[in-house]
Amino acid sequence: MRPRADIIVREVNGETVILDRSTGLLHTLNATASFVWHQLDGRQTVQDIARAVSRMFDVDIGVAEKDVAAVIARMGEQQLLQEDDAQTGAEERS
Amino acid sequence: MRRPEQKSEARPGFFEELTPIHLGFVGLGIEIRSNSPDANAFVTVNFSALRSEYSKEPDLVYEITEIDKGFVIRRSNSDAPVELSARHPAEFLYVLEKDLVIECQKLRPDLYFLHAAALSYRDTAFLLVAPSGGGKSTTCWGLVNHGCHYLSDELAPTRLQDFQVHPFPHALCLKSEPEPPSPYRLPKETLNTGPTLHIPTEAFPVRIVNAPIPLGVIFHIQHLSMDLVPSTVEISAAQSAALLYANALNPLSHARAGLDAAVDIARHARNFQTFSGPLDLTVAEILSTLEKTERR
Repeated sequence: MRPRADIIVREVNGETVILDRSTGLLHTLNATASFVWHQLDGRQTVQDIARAVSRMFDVDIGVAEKDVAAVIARMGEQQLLQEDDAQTGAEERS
Repeated sequence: MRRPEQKSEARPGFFEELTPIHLGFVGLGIEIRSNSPDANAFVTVNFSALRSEYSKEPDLVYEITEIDKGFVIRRSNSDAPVELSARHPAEFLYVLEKDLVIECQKLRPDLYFLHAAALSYRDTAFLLVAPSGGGKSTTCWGLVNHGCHYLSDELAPTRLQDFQVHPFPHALCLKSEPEPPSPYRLPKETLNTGPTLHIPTEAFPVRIVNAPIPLGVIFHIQHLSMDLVPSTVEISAAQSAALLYANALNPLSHARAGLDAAVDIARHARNFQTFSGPLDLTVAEILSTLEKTERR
């Protein structure tokens, strides 16, 4: 999975604001969710991302796996992600 | 710029009866012409602090006609004149002001128009952001009575280049019920249109800010209950940006659908969320936060 190509993303002091123009909804991600978001490149697995989260935030790998899976599931529910075969990521500025 | 078509062809001298009112807002000139003493009086009370003499052609021209059951508002300086109607004075002011603001926003794309009250504390602007009916105007009136200078109770056009907030000092507009509690009583000059009360800026106990000033602090006001003791928490720029975006006027007219502008404004300011309660305590809470913010 990777961020949908047609959403507008802006990073702010480690957090992320996402504008989904198709639904008119704004989403804000805290620092941890933002980190996960930026790992979603269509290549890394949940386990890969969880290892990165574990290292970055100094949390237990088991906890990280559970949290990463939950965050990605939530992003999926909000339809912020697309399948890996898409060619481009979201339009982002920092 | 094309001048308004004179209706005087049908009724000679029709619009010469009353002197046009000239307003200035975000550097634009607005001319309001009317055949109605009532309409002129409402416009005068509502926009007295925006009255301005200018030598150039107006950017916007309105013609107001009073008819049996209300008012017709005609914006006539474009190729496609627009005609709006209003059934009573409160609606007249609402419709006129709404159109005027939207048209000015189109003419000044360098400004980000936020639905927010704007006041000045020690020469720096602070905003009260809340959705309609969220208590912006009432809180604004309370703060004005505690020495904060007035830019607007409704609109904060913010220049993205340097984050200066432009004043829009129309008459402060409150709903008729409930009236503000003591000690924030309405001055006798207040215009009562029935559903709305308009406090003319001449009746304010403080000076009106008439030039852009730098933005310093943003309060997102959330009203939960009058029984609540007001409290304030600092929020992140990301959270503030999302709330600002939700209270922006026509954000899609800006690059990247206006998200970057909201973020840039939030990043430039200190951002707070205030849970409001009784007016006097809410005002004290905001003033206390401003004081602490300035000391840091």
